[in-house]
Amino acid sequence: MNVWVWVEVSGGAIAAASRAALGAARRLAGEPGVVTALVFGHNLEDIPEKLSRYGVDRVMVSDDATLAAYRLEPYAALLVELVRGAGARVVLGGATACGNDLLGSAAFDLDAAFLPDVTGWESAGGRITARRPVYAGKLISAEMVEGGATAFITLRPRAFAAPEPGAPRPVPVTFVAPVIAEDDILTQEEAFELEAGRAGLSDARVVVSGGRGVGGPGGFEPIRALAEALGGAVGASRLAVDAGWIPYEHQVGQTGKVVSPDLYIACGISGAVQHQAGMRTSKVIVAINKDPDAPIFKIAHYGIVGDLFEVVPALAAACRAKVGRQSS
Amino acid sequence: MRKAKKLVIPVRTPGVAVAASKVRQVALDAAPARAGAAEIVEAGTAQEAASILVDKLIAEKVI
Repeated sequence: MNVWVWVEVSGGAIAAASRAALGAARRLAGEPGVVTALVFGHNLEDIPEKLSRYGVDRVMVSDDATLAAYRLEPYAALLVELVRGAGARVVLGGATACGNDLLGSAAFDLDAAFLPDVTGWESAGGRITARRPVYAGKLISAEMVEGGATAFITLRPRAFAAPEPGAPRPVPVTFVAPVIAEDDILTQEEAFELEAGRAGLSDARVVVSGGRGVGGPGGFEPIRALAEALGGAVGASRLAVDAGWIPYEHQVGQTGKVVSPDLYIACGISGAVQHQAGMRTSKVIVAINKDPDAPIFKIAHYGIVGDLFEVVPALAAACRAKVGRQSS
Repeated sequence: MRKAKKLVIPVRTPGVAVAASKVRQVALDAAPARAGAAEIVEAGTAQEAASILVDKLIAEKVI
């Protein structure tokens, strides 16, 4: 099977969701199949060598100033052009904001199948049946791709294991030109700020979230301290975000980010179904809440019934002592 | 922060250059329920409970 992977690059590094997609592509393509990595951006000189460590058979690079930052118009136009010119059976990407945006748009332009946020699949005889959570994660939909055209699939971050990088090896690299000139691109980026030193929610191995129980903006300080002690990211319930206690980019749930970390610690979060939709696939869930009847305890693996302002600092201290990480 | 130019926004229409593919739902099942209720960590103090929980998380190999 001929499988393409759209690879997200940020700061010269391949995104975790893309590394997982490369591993999934290799397994889906099979031994006679070909895995092609597509990478769009600017100053990408060392990216093909990095991609060669993840089992790709060839790399297509479009390196241009118009592609320096993700914008839908130039990226989608280029992806559509490439698929039209040398169609793949499947185009994979991470189910990130950009991945869903780009692959969904390209699928629409090509009148092709789009399967977002896939968590597993079977492939037999070139036919793919994918599974993805629907209805706030309460149901799993199995969906089959029909027809001979390209299917576009995004993979939920951390649902597929990312392979360990191997030794670099020579792979053919094809350079392609962008298809839209700067003057024809509607969106202009004026500034881009990246929060340094903190793990992204979607890729984080550990997420510590706060909800109504934190009581205000200052209540997130112990949450942040615990997240730092564990090298994790800070999440929040919608109520905390709506109250203005923490910015929206931290929101976990149906209307926020979907996370699937190894460890999710819910602090002062009751566990409404909308919040569960964003975190219920976490490997281990810990709930800290005063209310022993809070719904979060029904999906948690471990719970502590108590005041988060006592438990969370104690947990951070115990983590620093036993795991050896230091809070910055 | 992004700024959109004042240009006419193009109307997107489905292309016809390649044969269509489509998605057919073949099953819709309840998500697998987690077996058992949460293990509530109980101890005399928050520090003791935290210490017990961290040991369990280390045993689970998630920290």
